[in-house]
Amino acid sequence: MSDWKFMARQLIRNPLSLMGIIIIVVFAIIAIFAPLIAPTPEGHRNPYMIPHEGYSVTPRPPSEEHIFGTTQGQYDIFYGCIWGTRSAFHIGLVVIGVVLLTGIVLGSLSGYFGGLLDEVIMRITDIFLAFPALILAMAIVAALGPSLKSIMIALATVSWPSYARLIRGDILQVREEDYIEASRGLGASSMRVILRHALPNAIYPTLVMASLDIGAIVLAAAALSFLGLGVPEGYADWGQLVSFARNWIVGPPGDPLKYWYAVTIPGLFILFFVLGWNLLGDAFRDILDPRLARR
Amino acid sequence: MSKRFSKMGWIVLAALLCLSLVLMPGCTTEPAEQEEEEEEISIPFKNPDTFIEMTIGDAESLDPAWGYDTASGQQTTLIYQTLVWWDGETSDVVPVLCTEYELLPDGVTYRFKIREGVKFHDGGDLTPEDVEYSFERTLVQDRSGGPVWMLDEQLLGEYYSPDAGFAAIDAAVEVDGDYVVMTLADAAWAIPWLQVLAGPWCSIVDKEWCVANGEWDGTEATWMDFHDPLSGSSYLWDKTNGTGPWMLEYWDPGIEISLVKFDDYWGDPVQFERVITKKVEEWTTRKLAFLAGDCDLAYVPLTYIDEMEGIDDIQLYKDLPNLTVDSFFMTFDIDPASDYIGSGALDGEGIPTDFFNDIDVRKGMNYAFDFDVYIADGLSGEGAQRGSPVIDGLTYFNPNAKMYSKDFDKAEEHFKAAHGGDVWDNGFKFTLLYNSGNIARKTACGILAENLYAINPLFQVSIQPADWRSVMIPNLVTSKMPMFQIGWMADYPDPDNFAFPFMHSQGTFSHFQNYSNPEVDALIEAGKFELDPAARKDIYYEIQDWYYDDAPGIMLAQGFARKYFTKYIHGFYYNPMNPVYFGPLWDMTKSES
Amino acid sequence: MELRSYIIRRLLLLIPVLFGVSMFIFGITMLFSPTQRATLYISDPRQLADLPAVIELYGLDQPVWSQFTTWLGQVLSGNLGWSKVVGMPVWEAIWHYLPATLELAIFATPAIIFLGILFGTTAAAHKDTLVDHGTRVGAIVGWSLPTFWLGLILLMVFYGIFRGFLPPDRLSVQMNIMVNSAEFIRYTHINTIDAILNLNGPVLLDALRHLILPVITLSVVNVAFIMRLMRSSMLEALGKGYVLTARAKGLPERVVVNKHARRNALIPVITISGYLFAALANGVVITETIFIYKGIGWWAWQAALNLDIPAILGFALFNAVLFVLVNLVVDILYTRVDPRVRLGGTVQ
Repeated sequence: MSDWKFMARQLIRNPLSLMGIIIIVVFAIIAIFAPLIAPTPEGHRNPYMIPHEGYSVTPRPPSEEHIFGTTQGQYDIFYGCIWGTRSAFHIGLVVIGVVLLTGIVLGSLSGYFGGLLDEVIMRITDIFLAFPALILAMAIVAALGPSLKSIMIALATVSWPSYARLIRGDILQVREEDYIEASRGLGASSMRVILRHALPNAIYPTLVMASLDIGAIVLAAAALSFLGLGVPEGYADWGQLVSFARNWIVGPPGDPLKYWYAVTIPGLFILFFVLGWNLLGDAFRDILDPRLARR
Repeated sequence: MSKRFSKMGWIVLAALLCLSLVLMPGCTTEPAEQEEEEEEISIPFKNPDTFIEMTIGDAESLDPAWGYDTASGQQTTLIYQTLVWWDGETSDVVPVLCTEYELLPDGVTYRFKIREGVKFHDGGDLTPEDVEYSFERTLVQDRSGGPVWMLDEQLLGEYYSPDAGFAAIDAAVEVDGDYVVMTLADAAWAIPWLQVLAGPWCSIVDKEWCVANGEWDGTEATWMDFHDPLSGSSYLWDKTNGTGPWMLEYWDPGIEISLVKFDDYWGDPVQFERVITKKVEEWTTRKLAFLAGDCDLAYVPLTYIDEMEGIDDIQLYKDLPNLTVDSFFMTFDIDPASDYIGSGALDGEGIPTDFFNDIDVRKGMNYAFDFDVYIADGLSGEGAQRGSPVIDGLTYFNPNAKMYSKDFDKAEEHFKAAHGGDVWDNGFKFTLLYNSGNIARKTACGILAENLYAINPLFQVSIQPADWRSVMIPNLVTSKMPMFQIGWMADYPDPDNFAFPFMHSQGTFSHFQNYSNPEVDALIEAGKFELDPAARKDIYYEIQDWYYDDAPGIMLAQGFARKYFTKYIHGFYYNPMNPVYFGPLWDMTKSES
Repeated sequence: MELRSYIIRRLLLLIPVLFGVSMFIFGITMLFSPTQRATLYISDPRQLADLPAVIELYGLDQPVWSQFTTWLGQVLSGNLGWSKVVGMPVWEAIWHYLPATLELAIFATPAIIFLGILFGTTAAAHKDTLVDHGTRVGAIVGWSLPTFWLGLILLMVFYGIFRGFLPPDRLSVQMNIMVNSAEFIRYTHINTIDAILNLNGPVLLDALRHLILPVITLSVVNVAFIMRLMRSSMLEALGKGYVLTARAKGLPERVVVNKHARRNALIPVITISGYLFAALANGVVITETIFIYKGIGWWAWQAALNLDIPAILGFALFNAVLFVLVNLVVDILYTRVDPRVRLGGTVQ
């Protein structure tokens, strides 16, 4: 018990980790209370589709009606960012979660046991890494139809190999440590050794990559959607908002940053989301690792 | 305590700094906007004697018999030449590689006197044998999906050269001394044939050079070996030898193609030493390059025309009538395996496969559509509504043809009458697809879906972007889409070229629609072969009325083109049939004044 | 396990990998119907009527096994097929488009790795100070920036506002003419290397000038990964026994960090570096498109978008070879950096 209390106190003491927690909690609140913060207009069928007034392509700056302005196609940026928080949690967490799990399992087995198992698993990752991601996405969509689920499956399938590799590399190093030998000497089963000793010491780089990847996943999902492989255009998703702004990043020659809001605002949401998870990851790492140098 | 505070303080400071760096641009736009009027954007003068175009397409093939896309046509038109070419901005033709031509009294025989003293890039001389070979080679190749069907139809009376046989191919074009004699399949083709002759697919190649490099030798024995070749297999795919003012310097597929001046060109000297077409897909990069003077013409998508306003050093040509038209087709007999018709029955959860068979449904759709908003927002104002496939610029275009306009009352009236009242009472659901990235088509889908919902909340149409190749085309050719948008571009400026694909049961688009009306078929066939201009006009006016009365689709708009040059380019004039996007470059110049 | 035999064994394993890759991808592409695969040859709606003829012409409706064995036979005889999207044989396309990507990768990878290790080490050594926080947040900001945003902003500033100072594309028009002319021999099609081999100063400078923006874009975005990894593994290393000992012995902090801790912290960084180089050699489509620096990434993307199956297969094979080689190098580097790591064996 006191262990947890100690950890909690460490967490709060460190200002950066505190910031991480606060950021994620704020996003969670936004996601949960989205219908209250950005209510769906009357008669609008699907709340996940961003409402738009008209079809004019040029973005409009922030105004009373649209506090963050509108992007190409007159989609309300405020609505999109708020409801996009839900998509970000959904897409980001599910994909990263699946990928982490798969990568950790396969990577640990591969690194710890070595030998034939290692070879086979590594060659499988080679095959997946060689695979062009877009074709896989298109094939999955051809089989399952375009939807959020299809692109999540596609992204997960494409992303797991690098995680497996990363874990494997670290486990290769860690398994030579004395405490591993000691643990085995004491008669611990392989499973126990992996889970309790090897993995916690090897997992951090993977967590770093995962926390950085969340933003990339959101952007990749949007790119696929724009090709017609995912959710329809206008789905509340930060990546889509950013992609809509692509051709407005540089405005008219006399006023190049005229449409700054179209890309900066959704971009900031992505940035802080990634930042939050990163700081959180750092925080847990700092607390959990008993060997870390303490001042 | 204090230590933690100062740490916190630093963190906050750092975060604020980052934030301000990002948000600062937003604040600085306020004063900048006030100075907007005084900003002088000047485009520097660079690369004299070089013409550089930045566009989004790249040629598929430099083989004149192969290329059907405009990007290929553009390069072929600069490298090769044809017997005749368009006269200025009109759809009449003037001699180029011939010096004169005449149509004999029998109405089907043309005689072309071939110009002398013309050199190919490789050094060879132009002879009538080269002309004969060029046409025969094209007829022999007749690749699937290629442009040769026009020559097949007008010279051989078939759509497919093997159906006519080699003897017919041989006889269609013959040499007679200094003349080349061509025999048409029907007198009705007398004028359209001249128009086809001006197309890049009728370019003249050097027979000796072709044969020496492994192309067809001109004999009957080997002709089937060169028929319908695989993509990329012909020697002329990426190697050229034409009579045009420029020759190929290098082709970097997907990146750029560079042509360099041919010094022994027979015609009037051209100014440009080099012509470079670059493929730059990113709009912002294109824009910045154009403003930096690194290209002389940049393709500006309709969406961004507002940004290019008010810049002195840009020379804009606008309201150029394109010979293209887009339409929103309705499928008369939808494939039951379609994913887009919901339940497949008129129970409010889908549509039956014969949903659009009912004229009231079709008229209802037309009245529900908002053409003004489509043109204003989907086309950024650059278009004009048309009532039928026969558009402005084609002969016998009726400027007073009947057209639909948004009328919710009439729409309601027709929907209430449709399918015995079931449509109105039960409602319907189906899915509209548009090719992803196409704003005009997305807007049209949006307008239709939202207007239908406003007319009756039971009319629920959902919209989906779809990949053109893996989704749109397969569903299109199997008639699985309830409605689809697609456009046509003129092969030659004759109304038959548009009426047939849109309205004849064997036409490309009406075929996918499963639209078949024997009366319309008869009318179109009559129009195709009618020789008397007055009678032909009557027929085409009737055809245009038919489209309104039968409403097989929602005819959208004919687009207008804009061309953005720098002010240093002079001499541009527009002919919609010229595949070269930047116009008749051989008549144009570039100078600082 | 002896190094040489290890290498040979790994290279031999390339064959089953390649086979596996091709079977897998071929299988996936067969999920697309013949009609879908035929659309590769259609560039214009006017051609749609001829789709059935196209399918027949290219044998797209043949049974899967038949198509696979045909393709396999071609590959084994050295013919990787024809890439429709660029109108040249696949083999030629790889050679044609790889140099541009390699040029970017050659300049970007060292920059990223060096900066990443530098920042990461510094951050770890000064944990919880402003330097640490600043570099961490800065790296994350860099990583979160969408690549195209950063690229376009850089272009806007250094090409637009500074009047063509750092332009897009690989070379200026004049230099491009020079490079394509008879006076210049393109040994590798990597402009910087060729310029050096041709002893041509102006082309070298021009090429370098055009490299600056794309390399910066790639670096800013990717430095975060390396930096964060380096930091975390450095922190771990700095917590180890030998570091304590070194400090107790009175060694200067710099030596402790650089000589002792860093080496051991490199393992995950090496893994990612290998992956990074392979990823960069794979091409980053966005950077290539924005800066008109088209290489293999652009080609692979076009191939996928257009369902150019031969090109996709060819690219996948190339990729497989690349990853296998890179992973081999990475695994060997593991043993160099940390002598305790044994490859091929299992835990004792």
